[in-house]
Amino acid sequence: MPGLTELWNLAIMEPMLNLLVLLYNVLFSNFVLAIIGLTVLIRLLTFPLTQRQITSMKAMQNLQPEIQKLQKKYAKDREKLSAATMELYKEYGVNPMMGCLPLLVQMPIWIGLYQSIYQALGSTPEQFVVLSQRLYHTIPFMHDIAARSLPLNSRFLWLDLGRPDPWYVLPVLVVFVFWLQQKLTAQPAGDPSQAQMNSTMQVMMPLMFGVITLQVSSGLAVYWVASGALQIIQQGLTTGWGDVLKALPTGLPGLPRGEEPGKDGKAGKKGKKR
Amino acid sequence: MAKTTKKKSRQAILLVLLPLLLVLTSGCGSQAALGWSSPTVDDGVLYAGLKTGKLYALDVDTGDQLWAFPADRLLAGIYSSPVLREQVVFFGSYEIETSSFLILQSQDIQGRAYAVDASSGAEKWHFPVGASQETEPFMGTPATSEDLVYFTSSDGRMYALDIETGAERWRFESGDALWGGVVWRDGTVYVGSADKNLYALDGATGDTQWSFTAGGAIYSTPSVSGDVVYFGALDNKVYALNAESGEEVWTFSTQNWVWATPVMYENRLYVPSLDHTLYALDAASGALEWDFEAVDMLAATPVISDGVVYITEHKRGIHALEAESGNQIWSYPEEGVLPVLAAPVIADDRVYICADDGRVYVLDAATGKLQWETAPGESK
Repeated sequence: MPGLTELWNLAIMEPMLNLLVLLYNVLFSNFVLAIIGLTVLIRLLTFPLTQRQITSMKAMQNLQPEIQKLQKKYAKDREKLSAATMELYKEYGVNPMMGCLPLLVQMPIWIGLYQSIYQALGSTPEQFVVLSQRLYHTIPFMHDIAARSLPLNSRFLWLDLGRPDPWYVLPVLVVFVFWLQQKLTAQPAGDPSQAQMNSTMQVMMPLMFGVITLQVSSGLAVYWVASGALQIIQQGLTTGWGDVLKALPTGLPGLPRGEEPGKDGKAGKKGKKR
Repeated sequence: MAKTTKKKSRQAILLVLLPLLLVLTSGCGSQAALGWSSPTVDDGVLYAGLKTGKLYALDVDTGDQLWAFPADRLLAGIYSSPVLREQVVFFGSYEIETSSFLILQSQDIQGRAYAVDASSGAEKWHFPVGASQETEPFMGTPATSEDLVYFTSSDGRMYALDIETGAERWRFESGDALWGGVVWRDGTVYVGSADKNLYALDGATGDTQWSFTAGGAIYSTPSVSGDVVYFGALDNKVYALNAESGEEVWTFSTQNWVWATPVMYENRLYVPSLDHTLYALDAASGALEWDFEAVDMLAATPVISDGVVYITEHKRGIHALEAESGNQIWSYPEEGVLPVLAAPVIADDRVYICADDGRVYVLDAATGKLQWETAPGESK
């Protein structure tokens, strides 16, 4: 479908590609900084959506006692339970779909960024000449920037940003960041099936993205790590750092935890019910 | 309840797998096979490096394969056009060594310069020798002098090798990749680099005679005519410099990169640009005489013979134009798509094209009618 492909390129990929080249030129000819700069811009653009997601998740957590009361009341009538739960969400302005929406919105961004990085760092002549058709040559300052900047320097420390990380550092970081994000944004488990889904997502999602990172350009992995870190910072600033610290794995040195170990060294009792 | 749990788990897994599939299948559509090499014809034999990963020698009348190199394996790609000198074919390769462990895979991209016996396809020598001297791919078309052959590499180096043995005599290091080829003229070699410089080097020693900084990276192989050297750059310009001193004589701006080599014919310089246009300029002043607008990129060097300019167009095949006026004589195919990035070769009233589909097309040079086509390496 050449029409849809061209529309995608015009609307998504080419703007991102040209923005990357522009940021590269502005940010000291460093492609990692250009990717991080683009990440910041994308986070700013999606801030209203992600902020709503965070506050909605927090509100759902606070509603847990009420939801549990409804579950006890309608234990044998799932239809009434479902209706009452939705009524409760409506009353408190909570949208359970907010958990998935940022992910869906970000997917075209991931795809566009993957393609942009691949094009911008064209490692073969075939890839590189196609880049010539994607740049905004008719805009004078973009023409000058492209002439000055190309070919982009794809090297950063041990990385070639157009290729997978040969030392597997980024896949590990991606797994950690995605795992932490999943823990922070997981919907509270209202029932065993919900708890099962949370558990599956918390394991499968980070692992799958770790596997993807082994195969794709490390520039995309840099975006995921940067984007995930910014999301976590946004969460910490919105709901408090206590939630973030509680989500971290036990045993990380130097970080205070919400649960202090008991005198026998084992994990302490759970916090009080709200 | 158990069924609901299982269903939600499957939904969760699908939600996770979906981005995996989307990202892995959303690549930029780049070709799996690599290569962009123009053929060479000599004494009834067509030498062509194809995307199938080999250099082939074919009979020009029948298309029958005489030999293929390497015999026992495939190269990842061939970008340099083969150069023939005293029954030896010289070309550079793009090679990928893949190693894998469980789901982990790593690729090491390398290159070699080869000298192959033109009659048998047997290897005479290759460079570098040994894993400790790995180089990056050799992308540009080599050039020869009396006793040396010059290769350019993605690692930014030009290697001058003994033409008989392949031993390195000297090397020159530029600031960035060398993807274009080399031209040798009167003891001087000229090469453009992605570091934006055109270098003129002493062919015997590699000493720099002069360098010129353009406004953009140079991937074009330069051409020399008289005392002027011509080349294109990624600042959308074509440059004419004094070949002795490197002083700028004139420049001409197009609307996109000038990737291919500008070609001189009867005091007119023909310059293809990635802005889809072939420009015919007065060689002395750079003034525009005519231009031909194509639909797609013109990435290949034009070939001119008997007053006709033959130019390949990405995805649209080839055009034959009157050199004097730019009027089109014929094009092939008349309709449809034929992806071609490499320049054609003209010999014995025939046009030979190595297309991106891995096939060789042979056309009548006067009419553009297809005489034969073949796909070396495909089982019949």
